[in-house]
Amino acid sequence: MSPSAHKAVVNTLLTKHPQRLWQGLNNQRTPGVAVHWPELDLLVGDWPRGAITEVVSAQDGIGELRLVLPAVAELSQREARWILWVAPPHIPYPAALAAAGVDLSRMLVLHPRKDQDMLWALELALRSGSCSAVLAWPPALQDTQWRRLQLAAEAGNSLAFFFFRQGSAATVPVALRLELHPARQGVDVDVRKRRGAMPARGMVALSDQLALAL
Amino acid sequence: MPWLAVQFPHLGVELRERAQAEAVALAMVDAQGSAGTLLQVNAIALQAGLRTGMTTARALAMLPELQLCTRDPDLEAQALSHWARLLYSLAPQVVLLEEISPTLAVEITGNTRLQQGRALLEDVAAWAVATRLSVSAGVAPTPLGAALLAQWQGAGPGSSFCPGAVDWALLWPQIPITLLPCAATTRAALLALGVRHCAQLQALDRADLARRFGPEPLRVLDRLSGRVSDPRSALSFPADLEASIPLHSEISHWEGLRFALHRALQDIHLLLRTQAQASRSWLLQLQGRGRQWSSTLEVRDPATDVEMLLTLWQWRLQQQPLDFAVHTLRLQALAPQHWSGRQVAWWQDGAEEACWQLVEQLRQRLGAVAVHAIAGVADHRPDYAWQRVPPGAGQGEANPARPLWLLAQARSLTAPSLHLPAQVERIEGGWWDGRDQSRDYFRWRHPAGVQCWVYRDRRQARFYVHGYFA
Repeated sequence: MSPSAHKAVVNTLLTKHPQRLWQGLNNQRTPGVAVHWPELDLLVGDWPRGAITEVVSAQDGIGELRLVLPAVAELSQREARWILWVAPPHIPYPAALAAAGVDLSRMLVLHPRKDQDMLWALELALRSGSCSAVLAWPPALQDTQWRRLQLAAEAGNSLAFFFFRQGSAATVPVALRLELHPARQGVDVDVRKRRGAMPARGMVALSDQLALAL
Repeated sequence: MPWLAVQFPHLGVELRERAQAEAVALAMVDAQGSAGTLLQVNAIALQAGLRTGMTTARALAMLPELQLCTRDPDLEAQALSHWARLLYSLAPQVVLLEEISPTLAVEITGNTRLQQGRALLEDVAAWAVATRLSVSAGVAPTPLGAALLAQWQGAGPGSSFCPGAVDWALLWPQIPITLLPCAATTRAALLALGVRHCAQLQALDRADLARRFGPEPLRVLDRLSGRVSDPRSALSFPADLEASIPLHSEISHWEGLRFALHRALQDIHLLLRTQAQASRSWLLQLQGRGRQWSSTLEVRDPATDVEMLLTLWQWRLQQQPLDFAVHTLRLQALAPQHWSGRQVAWWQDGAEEACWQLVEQLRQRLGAVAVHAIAGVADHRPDYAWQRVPPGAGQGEANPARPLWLLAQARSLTAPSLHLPAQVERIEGGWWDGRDQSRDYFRWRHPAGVQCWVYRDRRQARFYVHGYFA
């Protein structure tokens, strides 16, 4: 077979099975959601939809919400679906959320009493497709639980952020894993895992004004 | 004045059958023990060769796994009352024909659908499917005639539908004597005389007939033909919408109850629909020996379908495991309201309903308190400037000077490097409700890198962390 024939075969395969073949960065099944922070855009591109993003930060309050809120605010205004907060560690304060552009009538907060209920609610919400974004603070998850939730996220096509204090094992099937460290003018983002791209690290300057030009 | 009669030829076995999840051969007998005879058999038993009138001993010899049951008058009355409600959606008078039990008749003179030929019979057939009972229906100018036509169904297609008086005058003389609701001895004697059809009975001399058999056959004949009027009192039923299903074996787990609950939901749902009503709250009672468990389910959307209600009940019941054996399940629709369907927009895709369904599912399992939205409150004290509200009711004024995380309980702070900056936001007030505050708020960066919202209590002269600019 000549090299041109090989190329033709590969091209046919690529056009016939766009989702099965690994194509590096072009392998986005569904378009993601813009992150709205220029430095973060260089590091992670878009937030992946239909997949789980793991955000690890040892402390609350170093900018983890400001990092994701512009995308969440955009979804809350663009889509008639819930922004679901599952077991947030503190009270999400309405005045600040409204200032960040989040449509408060789309907000839904869950406080499950048991871990099992939380996993059930997460799976149901991710799978239902009735949530445009899910922000969750789950307990440490086992491999099978990760896989179930990942499959549910694929079915529901929502933006999912799972916040942890400690990173989980490297084998966990998340689409994107960020480790956050405090920095003077913003937050230091360490991209530990990203589908179709190499790990990277950089500083994201977070302005205090979250007002969105939507 | 045409009547529609609905007869239930296998009511006894079918009531028993429809409360069971698995299909088994069933027969209703007139007495316990092997001395009885079969009164009704279900389809499976019929396929196995069993017929009504067989002795129990013979039936059991043919089909050892045959399940036997006896007539349950309460249950039958309940099923008839359920059907009476359905029939009341057609016309304002429903009667129970006691002589040809179990049969209901409804006077359909004013019903506009009568003109549409057999549309009424199709309605009845649809209800029969929904209630899982086999019925035969007939339409005739007299209630007795309609019932006999329903029972007869023998003279070819179309014979059970005869609303016109002229057609009826030709049809009723063909009805066989064996169907007449007289004493069995009278029927046997008439047959012995060679009288096969009503026409032959009509041809006999009335005075002779009355002398020999008493007034009964003539009265039946006159009521059947419409020669004399046949006044009957309307059937009444309890006003509340409920279904009670006795379980034939005691059940102490959810999976066993699911089938019976499904049945009850379908029954009530059908009733509500025929009355153009819908209910948003449901009461379920599970009765055991000396124990009872009851629970109310509230749903947001009155149009919630049966499957969804069943799922919601499932989660409710799974949260509270049963610790006793249930023998009766009773379901009631509370406070039904008028409901004539929802107006659907041309391009609506049901996404909005799906969103609310998710909320409903979450509420049933997690409890209504654990599912909420947040809203701002016009109060300048940050602790009281927010509240939990029902999902969808979230709203609030934007204030960029507030942190994204508010701590439920302010944390006391003892940092040596902390001092009051030049610019602070002073928040004072609350004397009117006894929760008086006087605080100076400012932003402070914790040495660990956390952006905190800190205040100094002006009375105690102490610092507290109240939120994070996360």
